[in-house]
Amino acid sequence: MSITISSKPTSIVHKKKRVNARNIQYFLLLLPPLVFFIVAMIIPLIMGIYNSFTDWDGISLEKNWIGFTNYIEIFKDEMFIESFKFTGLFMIFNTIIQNVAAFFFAVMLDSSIKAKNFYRTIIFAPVLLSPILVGQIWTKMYGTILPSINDLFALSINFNLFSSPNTVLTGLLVANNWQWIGYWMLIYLAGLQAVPKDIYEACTVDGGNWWQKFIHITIPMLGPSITICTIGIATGSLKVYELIVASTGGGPGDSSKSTIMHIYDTAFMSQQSSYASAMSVVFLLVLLIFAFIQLKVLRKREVEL
Amino acid sequence: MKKGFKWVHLIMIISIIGSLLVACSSSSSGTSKDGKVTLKVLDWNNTNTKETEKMIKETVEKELPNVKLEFEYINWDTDFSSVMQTRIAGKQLPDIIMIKGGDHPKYTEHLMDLSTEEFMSEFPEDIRKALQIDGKDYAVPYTSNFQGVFYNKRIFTENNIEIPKTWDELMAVAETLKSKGITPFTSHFKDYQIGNSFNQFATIEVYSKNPTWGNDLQKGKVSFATSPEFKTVFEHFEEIYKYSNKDPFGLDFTGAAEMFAKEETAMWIIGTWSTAQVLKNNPDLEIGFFPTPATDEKNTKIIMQPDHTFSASATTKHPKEVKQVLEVFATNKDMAKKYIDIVQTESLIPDVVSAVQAPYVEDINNYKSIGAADANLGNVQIPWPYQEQSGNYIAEWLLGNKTLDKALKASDDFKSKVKFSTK
Repeated sequence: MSITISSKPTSIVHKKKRVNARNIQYFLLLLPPLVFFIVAMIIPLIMGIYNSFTDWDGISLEKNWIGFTNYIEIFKDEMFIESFKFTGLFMIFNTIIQNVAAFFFAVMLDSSIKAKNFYRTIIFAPVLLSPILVGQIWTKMYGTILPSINDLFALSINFNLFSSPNTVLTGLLVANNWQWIGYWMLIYLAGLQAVPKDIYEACTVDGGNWWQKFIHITIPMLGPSITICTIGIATGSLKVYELIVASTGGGPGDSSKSTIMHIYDTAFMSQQSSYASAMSVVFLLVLLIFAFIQLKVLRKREVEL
Repeated sequence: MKKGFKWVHLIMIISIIGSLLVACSSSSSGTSKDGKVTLKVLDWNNTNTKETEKMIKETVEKELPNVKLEFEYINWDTDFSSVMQTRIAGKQLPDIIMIKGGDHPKYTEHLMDLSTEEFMSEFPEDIRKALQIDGKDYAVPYTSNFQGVFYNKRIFTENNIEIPKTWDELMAVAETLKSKGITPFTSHFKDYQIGNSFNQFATIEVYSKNPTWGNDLQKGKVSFATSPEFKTVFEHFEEIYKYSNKDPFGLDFTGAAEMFAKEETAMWIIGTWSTAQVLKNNPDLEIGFFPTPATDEKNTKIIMQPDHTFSASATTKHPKEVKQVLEVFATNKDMAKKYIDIVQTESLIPDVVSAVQAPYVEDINNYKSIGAADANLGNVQIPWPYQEQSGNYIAEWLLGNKTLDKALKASDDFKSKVKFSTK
């Protein structure tokens, strides 16, 4: 007993010294990214928050402090509210469709069907494209490729989903899900493959059928994957920009203008930089609250091995 | 031994960080080793850019052997203001900037005052005046575009259609064409056309009566909702929409040019920048031109806009060379002529006339001699984002998501959400 006590302090001192020497190295290695992070993220963030309390137009050499005027204005801005509604709907549908579809494909392709590598590649391929390209592909698809089917079979189905405010959301959801399902499928696949096979065997021995296995083993074991996917899809959808710019440009009218797009247009087209900064701050707070709630709710449901 | 190894580690890490930081300091425009000065040019022209760039570089570098030009291209209607804003904020404004006539008031603080330069006296007083701000010159005028109705000559002759002089006559023409199974108008409401036509219609219907309407709007003296003239402007869109190709909200400029070139439609309300794209698709197309008809015949005028102009950054490191290049732009008539022939537009340099022989060029010259309306009258007072946003409200009205009165009211409400360039 006494030997162990006396030997401990020396080992701790020794360890501390070594850790300190290492620390300098690690710190130095971390320094460049840290500097970039501070210069590219933290400083602009603080500047943005400061600007949101001024009347700066983005170009002019003078700035005046105007307090909370911009923030009060946001809640009277119909366009901001409309764009927020659009972004919200886009996020809700994406989260549901992508989660369910990715989960479905993952379970399908984790089974022993034929040519599963082929299907995995096909479903994953669109992930590699840039959203700009996806926007253009689907513009062509709705605009010229699908309507030519109409001509071929003498039909009159309205394929151009991007040219009416009533269908533009559906059109964008199709394009966005087509691109991203493969990515989230991959995460679910990795999750599925990490589930120990002996749990399933135990369930079989206990007389459980495939449905019971799915509900009581697969879904709880995939808890962490569900958390990652849900948060990833939701935040990704809230930040949607390139896809819309490359496909509808926010139109027809303002019907597919996302919040980020509205902020961008306000800052760089209408030259209301400080007002756009205020909107960004509000949007950031919403995102943070949202991510926090999601994390709290989803973490509760996860099981640990 | 072990200690030495640690030092090697540290030195390696420091050298990595050092090299990263060195890589950060990129070289911007400046003097290179061979004594040549590289000047950056921001250019938004999008017609035959490869040819114009080659031609300008050759001419300028021949006249000024110590200068090298470096071009950067952007899209005017989607990117120009954001690029300018970020460059100004980052203090990285290119040395020479192509600015669209009408955009200057927004950027005067950051542009070089050219009023005292000798080469500015080359230009007639009225052209200089059109671009001056508080009596000072900030740009070398270069080209102008013309806006109005481009039409298919063959369709018009075959159907014995006379050129309409009023809006009602235009609608009668549209009705005749429609009854014969021909689509009257090419409409590409997916991109900027509503915004552009907005200014065209407003120029002939509103600003012809009240040239300071935009300033009055800013001061609260007039409004969209209470202006019968602006109601007419909005209603014009409803009529155009009625006589347009299928699905105009799904069609963009390129698609529209193709449609007009393939003779699927008879007319296109646009500007001279479209003809090069149309003729690329169908070089044999006979395009005619007439001014956009106003409700009242006396306001039916060809609409002219000073278009490409060249300005200099106020903070350039090479003011002498920049001024020399601008002088070449202002005085080299040979280059100006080549430029308008490639871009297929009209020059603002005195005595430079286009060699392009096309029916629409003749038509434009005829109408121009009668007198033109200046598009920038409206563009300066109601900035482009405002025009575009009003265009969005018009779109929502046409698609049944707003009433006409709501669309007009929404245009009024947008007033506080946009920065005006005039005071």
